[in-house]
Amino acid sequence: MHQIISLLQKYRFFLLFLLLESIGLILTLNYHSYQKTKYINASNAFNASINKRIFNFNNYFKLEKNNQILVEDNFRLMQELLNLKNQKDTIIQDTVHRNFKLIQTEIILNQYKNLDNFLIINSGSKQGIQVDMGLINDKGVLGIVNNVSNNYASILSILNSNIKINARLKNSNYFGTISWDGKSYNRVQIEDIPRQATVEIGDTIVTGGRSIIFPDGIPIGKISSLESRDKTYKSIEIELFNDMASLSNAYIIINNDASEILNLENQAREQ
Amino acid sequence: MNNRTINILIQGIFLYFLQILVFNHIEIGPYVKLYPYIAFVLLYPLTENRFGLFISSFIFGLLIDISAGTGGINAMALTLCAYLRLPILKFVLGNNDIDYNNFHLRQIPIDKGLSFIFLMTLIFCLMLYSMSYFSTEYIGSIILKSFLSTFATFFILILGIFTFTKPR
Repeated sequence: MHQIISLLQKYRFFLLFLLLESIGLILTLNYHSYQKTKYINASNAFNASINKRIFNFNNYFKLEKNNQILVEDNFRLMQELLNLKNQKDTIIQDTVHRNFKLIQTEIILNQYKNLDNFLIINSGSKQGIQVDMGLINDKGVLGIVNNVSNNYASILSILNSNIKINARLKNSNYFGTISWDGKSYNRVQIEDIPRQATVEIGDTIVTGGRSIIFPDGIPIGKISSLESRDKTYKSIEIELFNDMASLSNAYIIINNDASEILNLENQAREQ
Repeated sequence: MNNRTINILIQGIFLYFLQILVFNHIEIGPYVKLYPYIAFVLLYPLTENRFGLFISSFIFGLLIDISAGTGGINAMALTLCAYLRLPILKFVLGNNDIDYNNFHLRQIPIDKGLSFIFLMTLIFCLMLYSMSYFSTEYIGSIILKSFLSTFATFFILILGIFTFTKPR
């Protein structure tokens, strides 16, 4: 017993070090587990309020850029309106987009340098935000809501190694899945594109519309490089339309039919 | 609470807010992050009893983790630095005769002081990014980010330590 005590006494610093590192490791492992990342969330009121203050402060320096973005948005919308007026004789048969509604929000925390990045927006359940809703801005897809508190929500960024988004080639209807390899914050990858698809550098990638999160046709990026072997696509790199290092205004997409579709899916599974 | 404890507390609070309010928001390219809060371990008074250093480093790192939503990676990296501080100091100084009561970074020869700060920063960044990626698949990114962030943080630390501490 005396020997054990003297041994503990001798290695007390090392043992304390091991204990603290073990606690840190447990916290780190939880951080790397997607299901358990929910503590990185907006429910931490202290963090959210600090981030909001920093966002408000930084926003003053971005006013000129934000104004430019709004002018460009306005210009694009006016052009679309003009085109729609010119097409007044055409019957618009697109029923997909009618089921989606947008909620304007602001990104108050933007991570993009980690392997698993998150965004925090200043809208929460009070504004009607729910888990598994999509976040977009005028340039394209940003992420998916993964946790919601009253006034804030955390978003699984498109720059997160756990993200999977259904996508397709804009010019042809070949579908694939968007993922991120964690290497560059302006590039993601698309997998599972069938070998018969004709893919070229510069092709635009948009959302596929095969999920309840994003409607069809939301821009994601364009193909910047591709590697093929034995007539199959080994890796297709997509340069994002968004500058993920500089985000401020965004929109949450609400699918009004989401619960109906989910109910049907659940019923089909039960049968 | 004696003067030394109050000094450590003030230093810690200052570095904490400096890190979460300023340096966590500074972006230098896609690979570089700045971690000047490691100065907490570098400037912590040297004593033979290292319990206080270990515990306070762990708590400090954890507070940074909670603020940045990064699990426990900062706590692990800062605790490792705290543990290795004395061995690295002995290695850099090349002897074991350290005056624990009167030791200060500004007291030792400048080349040895710079080597000590650089090694500590490198160990911190390597641990931080290894834990952040947590996969051998990203070994290239871990090494690249660690070295670039080490150089940038080292520069900031030198600037800060030489500006805010008096020569002894």
